[in-house]
Amino acid sequence: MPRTNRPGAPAAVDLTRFLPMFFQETEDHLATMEGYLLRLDLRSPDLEALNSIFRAAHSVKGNSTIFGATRLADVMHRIETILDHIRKEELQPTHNVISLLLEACDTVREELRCLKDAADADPTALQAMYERLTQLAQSDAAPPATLHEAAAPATRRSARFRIEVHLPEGKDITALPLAELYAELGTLGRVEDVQASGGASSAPALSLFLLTPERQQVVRAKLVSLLGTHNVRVERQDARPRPALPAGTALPARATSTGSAAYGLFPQEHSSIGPYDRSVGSVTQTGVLDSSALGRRSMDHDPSGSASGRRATDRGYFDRSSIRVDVAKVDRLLNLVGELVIAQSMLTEATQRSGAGQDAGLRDSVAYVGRQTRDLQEAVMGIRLLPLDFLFSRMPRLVRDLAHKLGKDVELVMHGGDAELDKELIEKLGDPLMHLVRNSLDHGIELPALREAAGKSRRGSIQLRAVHQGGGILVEVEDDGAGFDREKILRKAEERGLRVHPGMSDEEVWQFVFAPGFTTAEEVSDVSGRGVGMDVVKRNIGALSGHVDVRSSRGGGTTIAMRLPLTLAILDGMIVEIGGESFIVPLSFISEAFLPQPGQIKSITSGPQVVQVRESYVPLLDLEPLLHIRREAARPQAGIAIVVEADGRRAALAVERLLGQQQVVIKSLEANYRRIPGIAGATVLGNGRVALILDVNALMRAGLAPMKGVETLEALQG
Amino acid sequence: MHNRVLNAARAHMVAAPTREFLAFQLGDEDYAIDILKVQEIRVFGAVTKLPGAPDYIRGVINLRGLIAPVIDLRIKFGFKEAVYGPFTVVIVLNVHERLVAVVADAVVDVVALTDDEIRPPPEFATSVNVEYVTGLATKAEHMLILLDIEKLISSQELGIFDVEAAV
Amino acid sequence: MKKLVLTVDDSAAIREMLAYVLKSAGHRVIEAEDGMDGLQKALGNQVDLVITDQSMPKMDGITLVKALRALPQYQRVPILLLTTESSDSMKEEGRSAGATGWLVKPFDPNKLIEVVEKVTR
Repeated sequence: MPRTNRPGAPAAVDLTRFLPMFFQETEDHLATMEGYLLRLDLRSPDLEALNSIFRAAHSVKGNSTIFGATRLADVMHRIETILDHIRKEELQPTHNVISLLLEACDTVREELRCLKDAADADPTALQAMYERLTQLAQSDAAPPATLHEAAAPATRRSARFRIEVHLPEGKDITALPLAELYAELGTLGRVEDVQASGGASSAPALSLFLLTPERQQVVRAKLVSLLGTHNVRVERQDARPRPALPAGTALPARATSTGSAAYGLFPQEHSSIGPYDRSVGSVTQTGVLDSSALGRRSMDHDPSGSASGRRATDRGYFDRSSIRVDVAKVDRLLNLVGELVIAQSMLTEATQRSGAGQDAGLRDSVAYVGRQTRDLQEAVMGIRLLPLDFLFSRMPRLVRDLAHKLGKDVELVMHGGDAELDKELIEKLGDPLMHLVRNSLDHGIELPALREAAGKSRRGSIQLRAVHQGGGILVEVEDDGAGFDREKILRKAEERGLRVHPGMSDEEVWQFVFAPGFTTAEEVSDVSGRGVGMDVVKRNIGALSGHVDVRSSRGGGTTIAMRLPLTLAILDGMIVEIGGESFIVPLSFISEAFLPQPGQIKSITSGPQVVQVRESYVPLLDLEPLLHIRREAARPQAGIAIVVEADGRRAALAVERLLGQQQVVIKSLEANYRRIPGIAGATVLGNGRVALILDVNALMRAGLAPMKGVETLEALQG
Repeated sequence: MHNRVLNAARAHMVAAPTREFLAFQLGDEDYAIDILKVQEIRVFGAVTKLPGAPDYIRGVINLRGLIAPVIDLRIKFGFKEAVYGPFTVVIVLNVHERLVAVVADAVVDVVALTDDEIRPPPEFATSVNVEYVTGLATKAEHMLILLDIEKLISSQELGIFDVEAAV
Repeated sequence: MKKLVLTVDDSAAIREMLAYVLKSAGHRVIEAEDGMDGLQKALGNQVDLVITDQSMPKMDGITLVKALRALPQYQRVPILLLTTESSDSMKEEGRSAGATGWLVKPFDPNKLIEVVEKVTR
């Protein structure tokens, strides 16, 4: 902030500098509204959820007014009215009502986009929406419906509790651990209407209302542990509380009040304007906490539930607190750290080479720098990590709209949305994931009547699951629909000239769906398209260094499993020597490595050699021809076999030596050169030299091509 | 040393009505390229070979974190030999926002040329394909062959940049 | 005279605007994004003035005013409520909760400075 000596304010506030914030915030609010709307229990809507939607709409309205987007403000005002009616149980939140509100969010979003891009918005769209909302807002049509009580505590409705805190004789309010108390209350729910007593001994020192979905015992237990059994009283208010409007959010009559004063001061009974009363804070004797110390503690300990609440649950996710940082800044930081890691490797190596490694002090220092650098790298990489919820959150809307359109009844269940992935991966995972869910809806889940006929429940289910697994992440889309039809797929495969034979396992048959342009859908619906999908999904996931697997059973449903690394920027790799050159094999492919004994390697006619791995034989790939490595010297007899696995197949890579294992920063070859078949990227080793990262998938495909001899990579590529 | 020369040349650039070129040696001939395309000059060092690459693409090197290919034009244009000696350098070029390193036997100098010092390209064939030659010039008794290095580097013939590389 | 102002509003844009104006006038600013955060920051700092929005998650403005007034050290510290329209009922609630006054948004920077000076003399 510029330091200025002038005591005045700037002549006017140029609002344009705050516009980006306005856009971003409004986006966030719309997302919040959408989230709550989609999860709203139509039979007995949660009051807190409605309030959250109302607050979001209110905020957008307020900001829109300030920034001159008055038509937006008008639309939001209508939405507020509708929500208020629902809160007061004057309007039944039906499927159509929610759909209208969701549509309104879409319209507003579109309008916002036009404002942002300075494009011409379609004025009729906003106007039309406004009129539809007005119609709903003003309709007395819906009689006060009998909303049924939620059947069981399964749906956690918020309830209101009155909480009273009493103090022992002689103590006043300063004896209370206020910061902790409010922090605790904050994690439980929403606080309303705080009152302190003057000091009459019978009255509570402090009383307030708490709106929370937690049970009374839980609330009481938490407060008792903080304040002591005798000092706290928790009383539940009526079972179905009249939705008391949070003060101030009453729909204000437009400008009826006294002129347009910019501010006003209330008449003060006694001079209540005064400074912060320091004397209060520092009285300490009788077990009162020094409020300044208290304050410091409360500032370090972030009470807004970041430790406990930030999971993909209702409150935690939608009311997120964060800092906005330009992605370019984070990337630059990441690059710098990557370079630092390489530089640190070089330092380590140089130290060893120079013999100065004898100096224990130097060695220790260098090792220390190494540890700090790696920690730093991990921390910075962490900044780019986003929870999968960013993707998952789009799904409920998608499923709802599409299921409705297709006339299907589908429930979407999501787990593990709080698992985190690098931002770039998340962005690139979006389309494939959406496509898979669309597929399940379109081709997987059957129409309710068909399901019933097959003895299934009318409602189908789609599950999205994400879980960390072995240094990577596993994301699955599972439906309990019709599953793959083996016969149909085989027929289609034959039609397209793909090689089939009757003895093929189911897994091998399922692989056909990944073939380009493959589809067995009779009518190509405009929803998931022409079967372009699975092929593109597989390629997209492959481009992210991941794998896709399929499990399916006729009538039982289908599961698509995608395995992904946590980040594209670094990888754990094994450094190997092939033909005198160093290469990197990504650890995610490696299942084991060993030194084969002569008897373990066998040749079979018209095929590659195989090596014995415990009970089975695995093809042994000679990488030198595949990588066009010409050697002058004779190849050493004893080489290492690295067993790798991809696409459900195994192979062993023959390398000369293992040089070590390292976490490497992935560099692009294509930035300044071109893609090389068989090579996935490059990195810089500790000695400053470039090492190429092997594309295990491509090498296996080339090496295992079911033809005589070994195909060259380029031929397969084309 | 080379970079100091480059920097000095760049400093002069501002007011000069002439264009400046980097003159270097390939085999027996002297070539010159637009100095603005030159990012830096390095000593030729260890190169990581690329599988399946043509022989004139020696491999890749690490340029402060970026991976760049090393091209030996001597091999590409069939010079009688390509020696890697103590004076062998790589000239790092910035062409179409990409970094490419080109091997040279030696760097000669930075040369300023006015338009009238530049004569049209020759009729007879030069080692380098004539379509990449923009002219000839003589300076200090050396004949310089002026190259359109950008055109050469991005040519299909060299095949360094793969347009469909973005998969 | 330089004052320490606590601004409480769930809109980052509004907080930015307030901070911008207040800082240009030489005051120091602490920001909070909802009523609960505001209360914690008030407990942890010796604030000279509180400016708070009404509608916020976790704890709204009126409740914040009440909670602050329940604290002995904040009995007399001026608290201003930010309102979007001059709503009479809101003003009344604010008054009975113990607020010192109200301020309409969007605010005129000069008026903001004026009222800040008035209440923190």
